[in-house]
Amino acid sequence: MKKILQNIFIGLLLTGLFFISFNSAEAQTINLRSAFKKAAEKISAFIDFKKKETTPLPLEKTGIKKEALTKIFELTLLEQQDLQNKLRGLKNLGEKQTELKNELLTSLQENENAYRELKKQLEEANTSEEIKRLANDFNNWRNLVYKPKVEKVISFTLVFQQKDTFNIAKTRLRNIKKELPNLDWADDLIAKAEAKIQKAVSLNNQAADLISQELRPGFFKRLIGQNYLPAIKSLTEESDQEIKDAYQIFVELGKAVKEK
Amino acid sequence: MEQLLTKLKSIQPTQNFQERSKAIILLSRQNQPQTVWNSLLAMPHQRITFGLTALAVFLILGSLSALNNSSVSQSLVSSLDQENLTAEVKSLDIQIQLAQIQYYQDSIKKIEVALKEISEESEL
Repeated sequence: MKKILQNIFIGLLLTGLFFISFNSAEAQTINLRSAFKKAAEKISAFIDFKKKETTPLPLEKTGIKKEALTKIFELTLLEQQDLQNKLRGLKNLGEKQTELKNELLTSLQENENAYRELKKQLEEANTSEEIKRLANDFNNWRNLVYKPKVEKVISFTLVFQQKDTFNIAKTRLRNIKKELPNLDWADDLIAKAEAKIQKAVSLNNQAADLISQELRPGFFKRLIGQNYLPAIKSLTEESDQEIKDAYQIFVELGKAVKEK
Repeated sequence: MEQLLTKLKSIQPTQNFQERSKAIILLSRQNQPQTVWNSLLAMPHQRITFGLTALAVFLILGSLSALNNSSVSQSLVSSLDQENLTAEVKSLDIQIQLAQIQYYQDSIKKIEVALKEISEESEL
């Protein structure tokens, strides 16, 4: 038991630190980081009791459990806000994709009812049994409703955020071609970079096809479906690597031009 | 002697001699200062044409080479500048997005374990 809780504690702290390490400009991220820290602190309270080798009073134990549950609840709310911001931040979407984005936002909005109910029950819960039942209900809700939505939203945002990177890479390639006329020796490198970018686009399109299959009309009514997230993540990583390879070719081209 | 000198004074060249001498004088080269222009004009036309063509080719090739070098140099400043490229790759924040996905995957698992612990009767 102690080991499990320690692992949870360390894990939450690490994920909290992860948020510190990037994207600190976003206020939302700061809130998430803070929520992680608080949740981790409350869970660590369990460990402290064990370390002291004393049996906590039932009331005290219930209070600690309630605080930990509250922090997890608050964290879930902040994650939901983060997901909504990610969706709203997506630009340059086509008509169909905008429709899907709006459906995803609607499905997240529907969580609000569950949050209101949970918050009310959490405020009223005073006994250990009530806290335990509430934690169980919240866990079931997260598994059946929240988790599938999170997987869909982050898959969707990842695929369509990546499309913006292709526009930047293509513009870069176009400018290089424009500024390096009549350099036969550079043609081969430019062709290789172009092929890398095309491959990246193709991999992203495969990921987009997967997400389109998952987000068929009315997807939010059938929450349990196949989880395409691992496949989408893998395709996105491969695509990202192709773009990086293309930029590496640009760097080599720059060095070669300098030496000529 | 005096009579002889008077006789010599009256001697005149023949009409034929006069005309021949005049023609020789008029056709001979004059000793004027030589200018570059005069030299050029004095050159055969084929040589002038060849020289001017060579000069034009030299000037055109030189200009193109300078133009080409200028273009490559400009490209180094903008499109192929290593710092610009590195900064641009960093701005393509897909790695950050991938890391955020990892966060959500981890968070879902860890919160599930924590909620199970809270919902179960523990030995704590």
